[in-house]
Amino acid sequence: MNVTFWGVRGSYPVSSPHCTRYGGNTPCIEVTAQDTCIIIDAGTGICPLGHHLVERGVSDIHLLIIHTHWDHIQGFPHFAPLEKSGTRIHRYSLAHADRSLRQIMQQQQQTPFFPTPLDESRAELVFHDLDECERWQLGPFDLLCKRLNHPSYTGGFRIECNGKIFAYISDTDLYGPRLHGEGINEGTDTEREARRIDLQKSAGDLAHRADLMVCDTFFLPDEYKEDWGHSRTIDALQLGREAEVQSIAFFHHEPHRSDAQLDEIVAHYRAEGGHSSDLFAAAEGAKREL
Amino acid sequence: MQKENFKKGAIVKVKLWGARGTIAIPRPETHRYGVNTPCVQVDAADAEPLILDEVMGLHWLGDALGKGIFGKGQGSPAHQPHALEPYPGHSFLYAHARARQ
Repeated sequence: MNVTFWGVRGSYPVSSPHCTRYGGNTPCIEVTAQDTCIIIDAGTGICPLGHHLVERGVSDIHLLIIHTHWDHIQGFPHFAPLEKSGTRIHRYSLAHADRSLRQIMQQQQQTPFFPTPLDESRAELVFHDLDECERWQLGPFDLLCKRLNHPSYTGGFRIECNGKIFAYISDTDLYGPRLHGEGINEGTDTEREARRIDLQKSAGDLAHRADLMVCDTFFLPDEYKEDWGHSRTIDALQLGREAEVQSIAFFHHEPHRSDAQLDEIVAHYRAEGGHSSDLFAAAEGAKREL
Repeated sequence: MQKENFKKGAIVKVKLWGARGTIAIPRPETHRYGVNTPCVQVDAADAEPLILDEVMGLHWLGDALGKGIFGKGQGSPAHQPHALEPYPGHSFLYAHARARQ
């Protein structure tokens, strides 16, 4: 399978001469094999990808959304295939307890926030509300979605194809002390801690022996805030070690993190040594063949 | 209302923090004009800064107001770029709050 990074920045898009090499678009990754096209997340990176897909004549698109916070959906209303008749867009996301994924996405484009309602799209839209541990197949891909430790309803994905494994674990606090998320914070402290450990194990299940793991590294160790639901660089390295991951892509970069700082961070951990995984910082336009 | 603070005949400084329409799509080719969506600051002597629209340019404006680069910073003197604390979906609201401190 081929993995292409179209957006790697967390929280909001940034435009600066200091962020040109790694890029400023919010999360979007394309995963393809044979004629099957999977997209993970609809940050602003999905806008240039959309034009690319139209040029390539791709008419069946499978879009996985880890959660519906702005930085993972803000590019969707501007996704060019929405305006192409004969295109079918499947959207997959963890089910919410109180409303369907279709309703959430209709709300994103409702007046007065946006001029064109979702239901006026020319493309056919098919919504798939996923269970917290759901497996399914798409062409040559075997997929697994599991819930992770982040506010709202947030999942991660494991994608397998021809014996290779790609794991997408963005927006989660891997080893922090707090439990995050809607609908799971009830019960005693003991029950909540057990739930947090379950989510931690889920990240390990998604990452287990992955050839490439894209992982949330929003924080450097001294920046960490336990109430945000994001991970540190050292957390990604720990998960990589525990889950025997081959290669780690630092991802969901903090918006103000410059190209020079990202270079320095990667160089620091490579020089430190002792990490079982190869590591790099995800950059817009980068491709990996697995 | 802030408009009452602007005196007739005062010199007004206008700074464009975001000039792009529709959506911010950063590319290396667009850094001179920028891709931040609309945000404009209007300053006059002895007046509170007036901010028009509040989209992607606002996080940088929040930084600048904190540092007082226009000579009337409203935020903490110790404010640093990382202290803006961007958060998914909340970043511009947070910046707006800072700008009004």
